[in-house]
Amino acid sequence: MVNWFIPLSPKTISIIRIVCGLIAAIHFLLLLATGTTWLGAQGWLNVESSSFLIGESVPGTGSFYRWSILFWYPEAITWVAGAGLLASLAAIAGLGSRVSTFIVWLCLATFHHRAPLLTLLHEPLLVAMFAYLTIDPGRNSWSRPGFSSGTDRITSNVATQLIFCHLWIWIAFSLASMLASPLWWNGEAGWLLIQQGRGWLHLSEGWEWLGQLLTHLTIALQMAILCCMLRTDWSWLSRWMLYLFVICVLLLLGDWLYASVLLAASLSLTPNQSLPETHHGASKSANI
Amino acid sequence: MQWQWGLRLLILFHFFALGMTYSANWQRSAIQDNMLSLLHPYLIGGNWYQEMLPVEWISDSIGQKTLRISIQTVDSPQSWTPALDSSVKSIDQARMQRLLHVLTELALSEDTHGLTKVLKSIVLHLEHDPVRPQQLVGIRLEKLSETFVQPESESILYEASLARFPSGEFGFVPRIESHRSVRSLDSSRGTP
Repeated sequence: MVNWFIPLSPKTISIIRIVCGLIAAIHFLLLLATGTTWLGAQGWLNVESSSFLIGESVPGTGSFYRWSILFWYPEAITWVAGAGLLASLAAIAGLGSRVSTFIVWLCLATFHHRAPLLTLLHEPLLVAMFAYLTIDPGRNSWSRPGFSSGTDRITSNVATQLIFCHLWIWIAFSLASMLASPLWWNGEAGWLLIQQGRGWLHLSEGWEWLGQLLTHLTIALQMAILCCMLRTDWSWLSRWMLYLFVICVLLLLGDWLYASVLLAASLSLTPNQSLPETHHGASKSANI
Repeated sequence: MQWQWGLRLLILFHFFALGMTYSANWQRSAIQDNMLSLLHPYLIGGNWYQEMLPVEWISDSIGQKTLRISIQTVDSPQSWTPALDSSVKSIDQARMQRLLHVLTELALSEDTHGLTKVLKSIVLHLEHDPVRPQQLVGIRLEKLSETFVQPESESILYEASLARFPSGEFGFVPRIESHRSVRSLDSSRGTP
């Protein structure tokens, strides 16, 4: 049983923040290059069609709570992407602490609310991780010796555990959505993805068996990861299986941003999280 | 300690809401729907809603198909030029695939109103392209098989001419010839 309320070294959460910051910086660079083409006033998906797709003014859709500034000022895309990029760089450098991670989350969510149906595979997990990093972004990269941010903190533990639990739920529902399709049962999914040429694996006719094998491996790995994550002493095993799953993602989907986000989330599967509960006394002197 | 219990409850609430959202994406009961509506301020406002689900890696309805939007312009009204193609490699290929996926789902569910709303946005984008603006006279959405040759009528999901109004607005007039079992004698497409 993991105790969420004992102080933990901010080292793990700091590394997660740096890796997520790198991914977010790449994401915002891509948005700087293509964002206006997609979501500008004359973009592929303009405000009117986007509002229709989110069910604006249709009761029960909750579109009222979509708060993106881009609905009112579509041309602000460059500014939002620019602010997101700067905040990501600050998060990598460990500057601004919670403020920079919050700004990254805000900018990511701004884009998501504007066009939720165009959300890519890596975005949901990335934006969730930034929400958790706002609780504790870890210590500054260049913190001065003796700077208090280097000490163990309960918030570091809570943020790491939240990412861990979110990852578990993510994989569980990713698996469930795959199993809802017959393509993942009869082995065709992997072969179809290979034929579409989306992933790094390009095969000609006659290699269908490899596609089927990868389909079953993708499913089996997710099942195994879920089981192993339930046991803290098997965290090393779940981490290695997650690496194998990432290889499947690259071979079949070729989505390196999604693979990177999974790798960043896998950092929460560290032996650190299984600290003994006897540390209760230490929490009295912990920084929160 | 009291604050620990408070935090535990908050965390439980968060993951309960998250689990319910994720589990409601495919099929949902009335009770789930009511609960989700109740939690909209937290779930949507906090950016945790169902579009945040893992997007499926592959869609049953699309399978091994290339999705494409082709256009006819005033300059070449008889030929179809691809404007968006899910198989074309680019830095925003994944987003392009998502847009084409949404359009295909709208076409397959016969939601013509929704489909034309999004197509209108695409037409406006193409007509206001700063590099190569072009005036469109026709647009179509296709689902092409990569492995075998299909009859044209099977690959076209939606095809329409653009009707221009004096106000500068335009509308879509669906072309139905391609879906007829017997072709019309006049092979030229009708214009509005």
